[in-house]
This record gives sequence, structure tokens and C-alpha cells, in this order.
Amino acid sequence: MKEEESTQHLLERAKELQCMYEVDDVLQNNELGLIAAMENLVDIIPAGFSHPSACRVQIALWGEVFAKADFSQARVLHVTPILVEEDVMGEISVGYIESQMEEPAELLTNEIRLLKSISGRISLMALHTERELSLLLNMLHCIDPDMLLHISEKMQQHLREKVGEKAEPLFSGGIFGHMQTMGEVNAPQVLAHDAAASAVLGRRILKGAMAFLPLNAIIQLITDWIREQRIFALIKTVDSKDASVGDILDAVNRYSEAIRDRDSSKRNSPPEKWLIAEMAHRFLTSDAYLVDLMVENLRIEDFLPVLQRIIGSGNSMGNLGGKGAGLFIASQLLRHEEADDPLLQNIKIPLTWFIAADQLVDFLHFNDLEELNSYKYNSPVELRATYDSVVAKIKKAFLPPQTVQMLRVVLEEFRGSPLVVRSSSLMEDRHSGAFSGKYKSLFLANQGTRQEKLVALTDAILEVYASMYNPDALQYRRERSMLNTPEQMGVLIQEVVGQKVGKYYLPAFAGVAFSHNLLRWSSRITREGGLSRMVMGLGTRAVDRLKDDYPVIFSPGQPELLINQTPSDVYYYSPRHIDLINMETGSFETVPLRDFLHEAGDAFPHLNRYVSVYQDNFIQEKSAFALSPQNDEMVVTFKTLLAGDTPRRLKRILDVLSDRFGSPIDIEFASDGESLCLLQCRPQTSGLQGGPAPIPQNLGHQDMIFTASRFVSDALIENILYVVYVDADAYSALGTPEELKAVGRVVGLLNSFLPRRKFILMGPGRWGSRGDMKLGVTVTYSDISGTAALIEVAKERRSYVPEVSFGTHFFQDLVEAGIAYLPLYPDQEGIVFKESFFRSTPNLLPHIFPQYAWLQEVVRVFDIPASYQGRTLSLHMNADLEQAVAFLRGPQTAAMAARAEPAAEPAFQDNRQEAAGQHWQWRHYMAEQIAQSLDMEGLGVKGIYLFGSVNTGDAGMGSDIDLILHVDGNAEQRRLLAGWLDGWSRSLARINYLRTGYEQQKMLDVHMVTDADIAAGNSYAIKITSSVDPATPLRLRDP
Amino acid sequence: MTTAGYNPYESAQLQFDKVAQTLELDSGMRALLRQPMKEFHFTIPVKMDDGSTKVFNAFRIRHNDARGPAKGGIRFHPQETVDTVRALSMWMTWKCAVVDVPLGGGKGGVICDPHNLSQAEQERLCRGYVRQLYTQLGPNQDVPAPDVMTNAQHMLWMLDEYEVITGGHFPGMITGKPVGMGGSLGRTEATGFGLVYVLNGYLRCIDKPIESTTVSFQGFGNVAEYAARMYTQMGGKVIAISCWNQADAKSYTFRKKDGCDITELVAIKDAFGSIDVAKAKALGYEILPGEEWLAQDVDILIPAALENQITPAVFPRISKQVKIICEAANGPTTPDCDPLIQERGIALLPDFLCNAGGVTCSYFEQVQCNLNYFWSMEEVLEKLEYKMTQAFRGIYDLAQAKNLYMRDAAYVIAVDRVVSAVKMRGWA
Repeated sequence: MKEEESTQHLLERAKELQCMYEVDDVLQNNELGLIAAMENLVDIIPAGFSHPSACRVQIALWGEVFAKADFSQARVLHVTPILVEEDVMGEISVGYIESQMEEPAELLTNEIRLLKSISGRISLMALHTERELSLLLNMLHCIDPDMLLHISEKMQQHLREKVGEKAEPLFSGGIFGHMQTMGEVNAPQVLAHDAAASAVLGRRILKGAMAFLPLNAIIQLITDWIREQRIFALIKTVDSKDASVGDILDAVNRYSEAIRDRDSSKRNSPPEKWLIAEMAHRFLTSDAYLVDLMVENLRIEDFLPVLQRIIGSGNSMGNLGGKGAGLFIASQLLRHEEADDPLLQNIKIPLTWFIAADQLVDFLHFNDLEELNSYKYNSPVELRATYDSVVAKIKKAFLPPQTVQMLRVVLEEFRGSPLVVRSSSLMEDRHSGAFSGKYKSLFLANQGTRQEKLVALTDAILEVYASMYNPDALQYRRERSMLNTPEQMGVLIQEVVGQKVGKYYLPAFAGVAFSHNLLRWSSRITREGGLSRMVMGLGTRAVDRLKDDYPVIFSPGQPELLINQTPSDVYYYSPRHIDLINMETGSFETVPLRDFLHEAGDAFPHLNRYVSVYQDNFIQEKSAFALSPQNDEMVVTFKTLLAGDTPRRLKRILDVLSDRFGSPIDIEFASDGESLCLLQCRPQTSGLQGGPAPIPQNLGHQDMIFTASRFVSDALIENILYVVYVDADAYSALGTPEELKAVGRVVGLLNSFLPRRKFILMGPGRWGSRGDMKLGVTVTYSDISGTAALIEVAKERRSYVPEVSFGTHFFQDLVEAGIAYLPLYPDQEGIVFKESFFRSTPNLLPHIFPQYAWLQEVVRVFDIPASYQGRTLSLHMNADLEQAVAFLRGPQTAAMAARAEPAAEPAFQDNRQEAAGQHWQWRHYMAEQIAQSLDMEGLGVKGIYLFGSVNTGDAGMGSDIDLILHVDGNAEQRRLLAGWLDGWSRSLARINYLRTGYEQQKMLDVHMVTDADIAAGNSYAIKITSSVDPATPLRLRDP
Repeated sequence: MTTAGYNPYESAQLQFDKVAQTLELDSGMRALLRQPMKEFHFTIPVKMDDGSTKVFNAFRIRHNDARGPAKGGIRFHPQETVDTVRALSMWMTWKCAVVDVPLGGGKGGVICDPHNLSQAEQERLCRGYVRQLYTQLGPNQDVPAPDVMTNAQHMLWMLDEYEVITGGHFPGMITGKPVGMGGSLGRTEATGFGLVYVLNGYLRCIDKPIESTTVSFQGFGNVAEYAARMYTQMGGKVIAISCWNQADAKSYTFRKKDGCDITELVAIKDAFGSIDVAKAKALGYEILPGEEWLAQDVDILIPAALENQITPAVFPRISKQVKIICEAANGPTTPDCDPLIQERGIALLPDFLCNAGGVTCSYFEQVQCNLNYFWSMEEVLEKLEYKMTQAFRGIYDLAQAKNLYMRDAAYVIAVDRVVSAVKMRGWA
């Protein structure tokens, strides 16, 4: 019996314990609101008592009562109060429904203790909840009473939606009771009430919410609402016209602080979008596409690093200018991708400060230089004549004191790293990349005392400002109808990416990369593979085309397909010089690469990744230990680097950015040897001739000369007057190497004879094969430099189609000189190649060069207007469609098209034509003046003739005036004549410089011919009687 | 260029026919020597980087190996034709014979454009070439070398494939390898030095000390540079050097009447032999138009740049003082100029002999590989001098004895050496 009792006793304890655990579970469940928790407890607690089925529990807390409906039938046996810090907050009552029991029972002592424990737990929970909430509410009340009201309003709305009628009593007599639609904060209404009363009510609502929502949920909601409210604060700031950059920075800061821990997936609320759009407009760009892009991809706090580094006065709008904006957007796009993509990780942006574009206005005002605003309307001659004094004026001026103050801060942050001061004008990097290079970028060693550094930096900024008045830049704007658009000059102050090597500072490598590869040196090269030009040292040498130097070129998508195959070609087409900052002299320098490597190669980290060793016509990679900069003949190949992931990283950057920007882009990059840095990003300038040409669809078959559908790039060439055609069959039938070589010579002669860019060259297979002249016309680049297009014809020979060279031998020269390249496959199906045109058009070769008449079957020169009633040839090439067509255009159609076109074409082309007309006209006038003032008797001149581009009306800003002088004087007369002409030549060149900025020593290209020359038809003498582009007599001596 | 027009094979046969006439060869011998003895035409399937397979057409042609293993380059060219390879293989037979190295003539080619191939694909192509042909290659059979668009790297891939297949080390299977990987020292210098050894051989024959002579060079590439170095080292005086200027797209002649300092000129020339005009001026050189190299009052002209430089048109401009033309380039003198040269009594040292230093050094590379013992630079040059001088003596003696123009004598001696080997073997 005793045993039975003790078992019973133990069972009761077990039940009580179990009950206690369950109570704890409920009270600790953060998901449950107060009501749900209490309702659960009412169910759970009876299980802890001797007669669970008859046991009923009622919990009263904060005026709410929770119990089963039949509690009233129970006889209450015990009531335990719920105390919160000694105040009675409620009670727990327990009783049995005796009708459901065999016999009435009392509570056991342990059961009463259980009740007390439960009550204690509930007290604790209540205490905790109330404390948290009160704390929060008190704090809110103190800091921002408006915020409290806003939140309680939100809570009311929330409870109405979620809980419905049950929550209604909470709001009785409330401030928000009558508002039916809950929109945004309605601040004036709130303020109309008694603030204290509102606060009390607000607290009531929020506390009341505890009944329905778990504490965590309440706190979360409140946090969200606070954040939202912060946005409104930010909106208020951003929206206000007179907010300074500092105000906005402050607001963004507060905002990002407030939302720091927030789940990022929830963050694209309408106000946020609006804000990003507004900030994008204000600081970065007005380009609709880019703004969309930022709204989709960026977050508000992304703007922080930029806002922190804008230098602008109180009233500055803070616009960064084109270059700054492009870099910022690109860097943020990459940053958002990097988490998912290892190739994009660790791509850095150099530390950059921005002087807002509108600071130029302050600067001008501060120095009383407002006169410069209208400077741009001066004539080109005046611009050039006065530019030096403008530069001097600006360099003598002062930056406003607050700017100087900021520059001190800037220099502190850069801690003596070399700097580059770059222009970032509003127009730059937007309309077309060609604008780049018109404004200045200056490198600073940033060494010396603080004051010295500041002076150097200030000086550089002033120089960048001055470059806005550079006549070239103004002319460029004039030509593109951008002169009346206000231009402002932002300035980027950027850390130079690099490392110190000996006394020099330079990047390990740097370059440019294009997402769209228009240089295809093999049929396997795809446009999507992209293109990169890379050098050791500063990227300036990769950006610019230099006459005597070559960057390393590769396709980031296809780095394995090399342009240069033989070791000697690799050696030849490699960088010869290196750009760097000399820290001792504090200047930007160009040093022969060989000298640099000899001097500093040992100190250059990982040099063996960038250079190979060229020895005995063999190119070899050496290990860091074997490489000897003093003894090895080194050639920059980047072989080891390109075998790593650098090409893939560049490709990935290009892909991501061009995808996001929705158009091809180009970037500048540099590396300090450790990480890759993005320096610039802008839309890629489309094709050489300005983008894909439309392919006319309704051409008559009789007008089409040829079409092409493979490996087509973009070009539009109109008004082609001559075609030089080398016939493949006749060429291959030539008997000796000498004959084959003569063809190359004739092409070279025609190149200098025919009007520049008014003819195209067509011929078999591989032009310019070095060393293997049997297999293609032997020419060098200088033999074809004047052509508008080089067209390699791959005619089927027996059963195979010969491969074309893709211009490999000089393709770089072709592209950068704007010469279009096109391979033709005449035997391909669906291709037009009008044999009759090439066979039956009259051949001018025997008339032009009688001495080469024997080659007339091989080299054919067609004068299109003369042979086709004044019509000209047009070549339209469209890379997107992979189509090209060359067709004859009637004079009628040409004129009509000329009238119709300006509407479709960008306006600047029209202007450029007009400008080109000016080049021609004044040259022609001057030629006439020379003829008029020439003492023909005294100097022994029988006639003076004009030919070339001035004669044909095609002269550009760099054109010479080509004159033929028919002379019969003695040596002394010739000497005097030459001197007289030389004077003209030099002064005309100077005038041309003032007008256009095109520098040349002399402008006259004078050819003296004698009676004997004319009789023999020598050299230029034949121009006088030529049927092609004949020279015009300006003045003849009276007989 | 396949049927009509210039066909290098036909012109090589024509040239042989003339010598055969002089040597009064019988028809069997002519038939044997005017065409290659063995031709291999084969395909090489290459797995491309993208997983596809591309098939390349290739050749190896052995013109004649009566005197020893065939020797000749492998060319990669998109418009390679079998006739070009045939002609070149015949040339190799004569070239090896003229310097009397115990090698025959061969040539190979693959129709391909290396611009369209990645390095990995080129490697597979090279290995494929050897896999298809390895039974016919080897230090004792046929020894390839670099040629148009192939270089030392291609040779190493081929060698490695050959050694993997045959399971041994046979560095003498191929030449043109880098020093340290079976290459020979002195290859860079060989052609230029060889030329001067020939010239010096002739000067000794006519009893004129080299120290008393003067030279004008056309071109300042690798061959001219080393020739000029050796020539001045031996005591001769270089009066003028003309060379192409890349930037100005024309050539200049650099003249110093009391003798050019080759080392200082080398220091101011770039990778492709352009001498810096401004720096040369500063060093006291006269800058003359490019074609003036030919009109200098010197004893010796060395055209070392392009083909067809000395033509009947410019011949009268050659100074009366010139007694020797030493052909360093390939075919610098047009055939119609030969009678004029003979008429003036100028000694012509033919290109065929003068630029044989290269092939001689390739032979040395092969010998060293077969011995697996590599000579010092001095040893290489000493042997080169001996070989070139010997070769010259042979030609000179024949020319004197039979009153032949040295160009003809060189061909005759080369063909005759092959003929006698063929005869001794009882082939014809």
C-alpha cells in the first residue's frame, strides 16, 4: 500500500513537472502573441493537476481574461496573483468542475506550489515584455515624438488589417480613429492634436498590440517603420533644392546606419527607388538608361563612398561628371556581382576624390573670370592665338578657399601616393569616346612637404580646368553642335595604381579592354571575345596609338589565338617604351623599356610573369630565379600572366558591364601586381566609320557590284571614285618574282597618286605577306595607307578556297587609320560578285603609268564617275547583320540622299562636312594667291598647277596644297623659287595650325617639272595631262 | 600559282637541267635528280580546343639522300603547295653538297595558318606530324628544321613526340633547337661569319690582305651585322651601311669614310635593323640616300638585304674600284646582271655559297647531338671557318681550272658531288 502511495505520489510529481516544462515552452515561444500564449496556458495547466479533465484554469492579465467557456461551472479552489514588481497585474484561478468528478477533491499542496511557479513565470514574461516595449517607447518618445506617433499610427493600421474587430477597443477615442485610409504620415493632423494626449494614446496602442503580436514581431515592425520614416527624412533632404552635398551625405549616413542589419531582399521599396533615381540624377547622369540601371541594381548606401569624397561648396549640386559617374556605376555593378562570381572578387577601384563639375563656376566667379564663359564663341584662329594666355590666366588664379581646405584633407588621405588628376566633364564619356584625350589628365608624384604637394595638386587642377578652353576640345564641340550646351568640368583626383620599383612608381601592367572586338586577325576570333591592349607601366601607352610602339594585343575571350606567331614578329610588335612616374624628379616620364629593365628589372616584383626572353629567334619564359634583367634580351609578352585568370577576369568584367549597360563598353584597368583595378568605364565607341551602316534593301541588281556575308565589320564609305583591282588569275599567271613584285610597286604608286580615301583596293588573298610574296601582293602599310578599304578576294581555285589574311600583316595600322577591311568570298552561294564590272570597266593604268602598261591585265584602275555617267561607288558594311554591299549610286540618288540624310544621321556629321568645306576653300584661295603673286619671269616658271585634295575639294585639316610648277629657270632661279615657296609653305602651315590645331612644318607640297619631264611623261608631269584627277592650271606664263 | 605562272619547281628543274647539260649527265641520272626520290603526302587530324577535329594536309619530300640523311625545314603556310616543297627540297640537296656536309636534301610543309591556331593546337599539329611520319624521320634518315612560321618551340614538340614514340633520346633527329636543349652555339653568328670566311678565302687566293680592303653593306640585319663585326675584327674597313628606316619608310646609307664602328651602330639600331638617323648623325656619320651604298668607292659590295638589288639599270653606278660582290642576301643580283659583272672582271661570290654558314651550323648541331657532346663557341667557329674555307677553295679551284663563273662553278660542284655519290651507290 505504501508502495502504491509513493508511486502515486511520484506520478503526480511527474505530471506537475511535465506541466511546468510545457508552460515554459509556451512562454518562451517568441512566435506567440500574448493572447495565443495565455490561451495555450489555459489548455496546458490542467494536465498538471490530479484531475485534469475536471480542472479549469482562468488567467487574468492586464485586464484581459483568458479561460475556457465552462470555467464558470468550476468551483475555484485557489487563486494566485501575478505580480510584476510588486504590482498585481493579474491572477491565475484554478478550480474543478465537480459534476465531472466522482467525488470532490481539494488541491494538493504541491499543486498550489505549481500554480505559484507558473504565476512567477508569467510575471517574468510580462515584466520582460513590458520592459522592452516601454524602453523602446520611452526612448522613441524622448528622441522623436513624431516618430512615436507615426509608429502607433502604423500599428493601428496593422492591427486593423491583421486582427480586425478584436483590436478595435484599443483604438477607442483615439487620435487615428476616424481615418479610414491610412496612407503616408499625415503630419499636420497629428500636430493638430494635443501632443501629450496623443503620446499616451500611442503608447496604449503599441502596448495593446502585445496582446496580439509576439514581442519580436512588434519590435521588427517598429524597426521597419522607423527605417521608412528615415527614408522620408532623406527624401525631404534630397528633394530640397538647397540641400548641400553634406546634408545629403548626412541623411544617407543616418539612413544606412538605421538599416544596417536589415535583410537586403526586402529593400526595394518605392521610396528607395525614388531616392536612388533622384541621387543618380543629381550626382551622376541624366541618361535615362543609366538611371534605370542604378535603380535596379544599386542601394542607397552605395552612394556613401562617393558622397564622402565630393569636394563642393555649400551650393554645389555635386555632379561628378562623365568619367566619375561611369566609374562609380561600373564599380557598384561589379561589387553586387562579386558574391556569386569568384572572377569578379578583389577587383578594386582606386581611392578617388571628386571635385564637383559645378565648382568651375565658383572658381570663375571667385577669380572674376566670368569672361571665359563666352570664350568658346571666338573664331578658331583667335582661340588658338589666345589659348596660351587663357592657360596662363587660369594657372595664375586661385581655387576658392573652401576647396583648398578640402584638398588638404584629400592629401592627408592619400598619404603621399602618386596621384592622377583627370578631367571628368559633363560631356565626356557620354556622346562618344572620341571626346577622351581632348581634356587633360596629369600625373603627380605627390612628394615633398605638405605645402609642396598642395601647390602641385592645385596647379594640376587648374591645368585641367584650363584644358576646357583647349581649342581642339572647343572645335570638337563645335563640329558636333555641342558648343551651346553648357559644359562643366569635374575633376577626379585618383590614386595611381602601382608599386614602387627603384626610383619609379608604376603599375605592373595596365591597359584598355573593349567588350566588342572589331579587330579580327583570324576567322576564329569572335566579336564577343573582346579585345585588350596592354602594356607594362602606366596605361597611357595602351590607350594612345603611337607610331613607333606597340601594345600587347589579345582577345580576353580567346587569349590562346595570338596575333603574332613568329618569334621575330612577337619581338617586333612589342612595347619598346614604358610610361612611369619618376619619384625623384616628380615627373611623368617615358623611358625606353630596355633601359628601364636594365636599371630596375631586378626590383620589379614578378617580372617573369610579364616578360619573356628573346634569344636566337626563340622566345622563352624564365623562372624568377633564372631571369636576368641585366643579361637577357627581354620582350613584353605577358605570357605567364595571360595563361592565368587575368584574361578571364577581364572578359567577365566586360561581359557583366556590357550586359548591364545594354551596349558594348570599354574599360581602362591597371594592376599593382596583386589586384586588378578598374580605372574607367564608358560605352564603347562604335565602329571606325561610326557604327553599322544600313544595308539598302531595294537595290537594282544592275547597281550592285559585290556583296559579302562573312567576317563583316562596320563601315560606311561613300563617294568612292576609283577602284584598284588586282585580278587573281592574271596575278597568279605572272611568270617571275620580279613581275609579282612590280604589282606591289604599282599599288604603292597608285596609293600616292589617287586621291586619299577616295579609292578602294581589291585583290587576291593575302595582301602584304612578309617574306612570301609569291602568295600575295607584296605591299607594306605605306603602300596602301591612302585607301578607304582593303578588300581581300578569296576566289575558289579548283577545289579549294584560299584563305585571306584578315589584314594580319598590318591590321593594327588599318584599324587605327580607319581603313575598312573586308574579305570577299565570290563563289559562296547568294553572293554577288559582278565579273563584268571588273572585266569591262575601262582600265586607266596605261594612262596613269604608261611604264607599267604591261601590267594592265593584272592591275586595273577604274574611274567610276567617268565610266558610269558621274555615278560613284558606295560600300555599306554592317557587322550586326554580317552583310556588306557595294553599289553604284546615281548622281540623282546621291543628291537626294544627301538632302534626306541629315535628318537620319547625327547632326555633327553635317557640321563636319561644312568644316571640311572650309578647309578646302581657304586652301584653294591661298593657292590662287600664290599663283597671282609669283614672279613667273624672274623665277623661271612657265606654269603653276594645282592638284590633289585641294583641287578635288576633299582637303581635310591636315591636307597639303599640292602644286606642280613647270619650270625652265637656271639653278639660281630654282633656288630663289624654292626659298620663296618655302616661306609661303611655313606661314600657311602656321595659319592652318591656328585654325585647326593641326601641326605641320610646311603646307605646300611642290613638284617641279621641266619640259623634258612633260615630254617623257615622267612622274608628276603626267598629272598636267592626266585623265584621272588632272591638275588645274592656276596661272600660265604668257608666251 | 598552281598551274600557270611562276612555278618554283619548274624553275628549279630548269636550273638543274642547265647544270646537267654542263656536266653532260646521262638521262637516267637527270631523271633521278630532277625530281624528288620520295614524297609523303598525308593528313594530320588535330583535336581543336573546342572539341572539334580539323584535318590538315601535310607533306614531307626527300629529294635525295645519297650523301647522307635528308635535311630541310618544315613550313606552316596556308597556301603551301607541293611544288614549292619539291623545289625547296631540291635546293637543300645542292645547298648541303656545296659546303660538302654529308647530308641530303628534304623539305616539309603543312597547309595551315598559325594565326588560326592556338599554341595548344599547334603543339598537337606538330606532334601529329611526327606521329604520321616518325618511321621516316630520325638522325640517320631525315632531319627537319624550322622554316616559314615554325620555330624552335615547334621543333621541341616534334622532338619530344619522336622520343616518346621511339622510347629513346635522339636530339639529332631535328635541328634549330635552343641552346641547352640540343641547340648549337654560334647559330646567330654563323651566316654572317661564314660569309666573311668565304670572302677572306677569296682575298687570300688573290693575295690581298683583308686589312687593306673596304666594304659597303646593304642592310644591317642579323647577317650583315655579324658579317660586319667579323670583317672589321679581321682588320677590314666598313665604309658604308645602308638600311631601311621603319619610321620614315625609306632607306638611308650611313657613311664614315674612316670606317664605321659596328658596335656603336648596333647599339643604335632597333629590332629590325633600322639605325637611328639622329643618333648616327651625332656620332659623325654622313646620312646619304639609301641607294648610295652601291656607289661608294670601296673594294667590296655586300648586298645583305633584299632580292634583285643589283640590276643592269643600277650597275653603271658601281664604282670602278669595286672588285668583289659578295652575295649575302638571296638573289641580290638579277641574272641579267651576271654578264655585266663578268665583263667588268668583278669576282662574284654567289649567295648559294655565301649564306651556307647557316646550314653548316645546323649540321654541326646534328653532329653534336649525335655525339651528345657540345662544343664551345670557339670550337664551333673554328670548324665553321674550316668548312666554309674548304667549300670556297673547291669552288674557286674549279672556277679557275675550268674558267667558270663562280656562281656556275658552285652549282656544278654541288650537283657533281651528289652525282658521284649516286654513282658510287650504284643508283644510276
